[in-house]
Amino acid sequence: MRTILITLIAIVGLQAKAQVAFITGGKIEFEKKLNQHQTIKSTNDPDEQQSSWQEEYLKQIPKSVTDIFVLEFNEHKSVYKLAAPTDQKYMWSAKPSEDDVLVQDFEKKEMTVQRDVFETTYLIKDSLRNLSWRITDETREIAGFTCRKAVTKICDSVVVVAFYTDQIVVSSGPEAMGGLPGMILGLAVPRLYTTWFATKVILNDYTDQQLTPKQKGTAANWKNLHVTLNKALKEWGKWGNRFLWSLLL
Amino acid sequence: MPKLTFVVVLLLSGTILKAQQSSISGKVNDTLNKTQLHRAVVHLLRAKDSVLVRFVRTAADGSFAINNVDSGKYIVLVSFPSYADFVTDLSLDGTSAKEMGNLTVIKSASLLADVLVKQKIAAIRIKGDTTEYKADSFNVGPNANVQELLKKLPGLQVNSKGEITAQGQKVQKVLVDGEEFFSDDPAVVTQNLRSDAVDKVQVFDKKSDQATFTGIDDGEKIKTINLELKEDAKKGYFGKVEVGSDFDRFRKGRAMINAFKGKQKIAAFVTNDNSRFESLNWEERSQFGEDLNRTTEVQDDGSTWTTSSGDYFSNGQGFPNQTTGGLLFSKKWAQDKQNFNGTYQFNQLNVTGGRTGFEKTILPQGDTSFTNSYTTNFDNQAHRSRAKLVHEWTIDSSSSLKATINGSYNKNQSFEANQNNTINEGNRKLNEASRTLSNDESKTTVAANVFYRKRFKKKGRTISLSVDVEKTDIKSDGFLKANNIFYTINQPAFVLPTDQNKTNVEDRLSYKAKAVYTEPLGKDYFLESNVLYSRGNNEANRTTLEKLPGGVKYENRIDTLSNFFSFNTRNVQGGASIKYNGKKFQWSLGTDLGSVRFAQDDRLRNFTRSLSFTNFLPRASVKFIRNKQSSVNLTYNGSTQNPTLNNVQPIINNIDPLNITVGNPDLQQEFRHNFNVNFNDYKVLKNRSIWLGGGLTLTDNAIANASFIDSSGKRINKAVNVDGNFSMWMWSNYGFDLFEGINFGFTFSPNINRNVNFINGKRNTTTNYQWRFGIQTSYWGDKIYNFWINIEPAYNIASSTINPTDVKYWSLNSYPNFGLKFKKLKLYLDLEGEMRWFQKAGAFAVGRDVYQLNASIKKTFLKKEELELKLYINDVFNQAQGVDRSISSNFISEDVSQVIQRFFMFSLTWNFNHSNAQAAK
Repeated sequence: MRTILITLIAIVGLQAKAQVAFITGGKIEFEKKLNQHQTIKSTNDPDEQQSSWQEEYLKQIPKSVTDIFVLEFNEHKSVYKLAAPTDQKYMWSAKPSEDDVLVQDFEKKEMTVQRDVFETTYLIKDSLRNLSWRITDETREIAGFTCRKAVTKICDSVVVVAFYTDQIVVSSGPEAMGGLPGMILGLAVPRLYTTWFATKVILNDYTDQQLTPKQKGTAANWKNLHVTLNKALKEWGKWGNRFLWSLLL
Repeated sequence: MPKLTFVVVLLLSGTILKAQQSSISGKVNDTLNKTQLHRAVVHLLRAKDSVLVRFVRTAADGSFAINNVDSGKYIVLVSFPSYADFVTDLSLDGTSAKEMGNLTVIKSASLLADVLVKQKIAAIRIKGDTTEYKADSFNVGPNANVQELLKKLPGLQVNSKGEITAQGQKVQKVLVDGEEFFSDDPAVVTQNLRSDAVDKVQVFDKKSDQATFTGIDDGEKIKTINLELKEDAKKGYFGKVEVGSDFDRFRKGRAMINAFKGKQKIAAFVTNDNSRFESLNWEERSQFGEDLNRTTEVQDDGSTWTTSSGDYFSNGQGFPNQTTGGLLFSKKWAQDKQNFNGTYQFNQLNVTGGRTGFEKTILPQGDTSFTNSYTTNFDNQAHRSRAKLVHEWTIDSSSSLKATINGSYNKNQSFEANQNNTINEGNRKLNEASRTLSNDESKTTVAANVFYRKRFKKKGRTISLSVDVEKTDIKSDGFLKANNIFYTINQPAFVLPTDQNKTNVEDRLSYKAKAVYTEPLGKDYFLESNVLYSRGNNEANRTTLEKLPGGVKYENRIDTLSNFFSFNTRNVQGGASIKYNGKKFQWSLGTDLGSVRFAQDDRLRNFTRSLSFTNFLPRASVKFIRNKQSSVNLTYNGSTQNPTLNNVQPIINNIDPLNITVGNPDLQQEFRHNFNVNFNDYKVLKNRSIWLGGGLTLTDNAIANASFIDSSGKRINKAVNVDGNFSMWMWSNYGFDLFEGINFGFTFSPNINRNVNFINGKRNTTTNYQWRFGIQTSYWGDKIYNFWINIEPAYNIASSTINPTDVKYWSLNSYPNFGLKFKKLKLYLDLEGEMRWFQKAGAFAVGRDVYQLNASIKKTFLKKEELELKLYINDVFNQAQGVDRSISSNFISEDVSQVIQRFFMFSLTWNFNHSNAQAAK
């Protein structure tokens, strides 16, 4: 159920002289929506497009699947993970992992990502992402917040669209995204036919301790994971690209 | 304030750094409300592409400072919630600190009031506030992109940067079919957007997302263009034409086409081939005709399980001449809610051929054993026409209805001439027979199914209903002419001539209704229940006629070989099971219980008999999920198997007078316990896989054969119940990358079977062991070569209690494949082998090894390699033969059938493809 909680904040720090409540800590619920049919139609080879096999496959899986993710944050850290598993019919490999946890640490300027990559659980330690965000003057309202649109690219060419609000002062967002002057409440990767939109923002004070989940996995960084994936998915054609982009997001 | 100190430190250090870098400072305030703005964001954007270079939030007094900025042109953007953006250009020459002074921002509300000018534009209003253009009425050429289309529309302007102005206002949003983000990625746009893919262009003022969602109009509107795409813009056709011949005996011709326009598709194919059985391969069947023998299922993890069963027309022994054809029409409409699919297919298969072989029967000690040798020639003509109509209706998001009608007509004309003789261990001839059997059979089947499914609001609560009706009519008319000579001490003792006309008329009608209901019990538990009711009525009238002495017509009815039965079944069944779906562990437990009644009415002898059975079908399963790529699955299911009409019906069938089957009306049902285990562990990154599957079937009261063989070699078979049957199988494979890209695998797949039967009243237990091993290696990449080699040795042991010596032998199968591709020369070479080798064992004195190699060389022409010239050599060494050997129970048999051997075939193939999607590239 989509419910939008418009949060009206009365008192947040007396130092704010203008009557605007800035948010420094809380929990955001994101709705991640993946269009499975569009993914299959655009990733399968052209001669598979007209095959009865693809038709049958599409009939048996829903057009899109939706998962809820949560982002808990304070001014020092943010933790992003799946809220609860669902039993929808996913296409192969699209089911999100319940064990994945992504921590961004703004003090140390680094992130620690526990991510299931096929059979291996990786613990990716790397600095916070340094993406070139192109800022636009387009804005839209997400979960009651005015958000500005910014666009960047990952893996050289994959466009990522983000909507951030300056009202939340923490530079974080869904997946390993961040680096904008505020919180990303909306994210879209057109080529993966996937969007993330915040549906709820709940104010909360988290201690750093509460934002220190247990994480484990094979040590890696983004660069060597990219090399490993490139090698393993070399023969996978367009599907290999899709896996690569979504696993490096 | 630690933050402030931090800023001060930065400020100080900034002045020490190199001269190419500058620092910026300033203060953000709202003069109107006389407040200094704390935490306003100061964005520093690169002027040429507005990429964010740095940002900072203002301190409590509204001050900010950004240090160490490279020289260049920038845009400073200051934002503060509910305030209008402050934007200014900034040029840094890298010399000194830039003091920007007071940056004044004002509340959005006051800004709007000042600058917003109400626009008034006269436009054709079609739908309320929406201006709609029909894309096709603006001619922009076939491969134009959407931008070119938009430029042509009155009231719209597109500037050099690609920015769109509609009715004097800048368009802020371009939606594609209401989807917002496709237009952000150029790669996605080129995939989805060509001007001829667009049906309508709608220009409107979109309410804010908030307003759309809450339904509360906040007055905020943005100029939006929605590109409504045509239902499905794809249009085109593809297909191929292929002709081949050896300019002598073998030939083939195939033509197929698939034409699609939007969500409508027509596909057709016609083939004629006398060099092989199967006329369309898997891929072709999927593209040009619905594969009526195939089912596809999507598993819980999203992987698919496709099963395709062969039939009489897809493989066989002998020399085929097959003509096939098919027509497919499919259409979707009403947002894919209505989906219709119609298929018609025909097959005409003529096969001639011959088989020779022997069957050795081992009798209990004290008795002798016989060897029956035979030679058979056959000539069969089979015709089949099939049609299938499917209509699916998605009533709403939670319910759907599917109706299927299937019809088929089969006509088989078969002729078989057989010569056989039986000798005993001392090489003494016991009997000799020759017979011809001809039969002309037609079979018509019509089946209909209606399936309804509904998901309720409560998650996990579903109901499905299914109703089936099927009607089958069979008519056959045939002649049996045989001459059986029985010998005593190598001299003919008596002669049994047979000359009969056999007819059979059978009508079957069955109904079935089934309902399944699932209900969630708490979070992870589900209850599934089902009820089933089915009825079957079967009438079979078999008549055997012979000539009266001296007569020419078949008019004398042989009562012992004629009967008229009506056979009715009624089955009522219901059951329930509980499922637990945990994260790491899942189980289910349940059973079905049923009552089945068979009523058999012998219309000729006025004898009625009925049998009732209680069916018991327990089931259980356990699944451990180790991780995404690895799980262990254990299942059990038990089932009752009831005797068939043929087991029970006491009709004497005399087609082979030396091999007669009699019925057993006292037969009991059997009960099978099936245990299965499955384990898989697939590592994608390492390309390593382990698959393991195994099964055990124990059968209580198994329906088995009891045969009585007299000294002349004549055998009478009867179905009886026995205990002690079991079968066990296992399949395991370990695969890994030997070198990068070269996969290597081991398999181990043993089989053990134990079967009990009776021979001349003695209990005989046959146990067969097969220890099968295998190694495979393959490379399937983009290099010049690729290969796939499989070698499977097996050690076979057959033992039987009535035969004191076990039969043990090795056999080996190998399927090597090797390919070379010279891409620049457009030349492709393929070798495909099949090797079957049997160790010479006592039972099989003659080696029947098969070394078959097929080779092909292919050269392609034209830019997209549309034209293909190919030379194919079937069975290069002229070695092919169809060998089937088996050692089972108390039989040892070998059957060698004629197959197509060496031939050459030149073929020319033209692949054609035209679609608007391709033309756009």
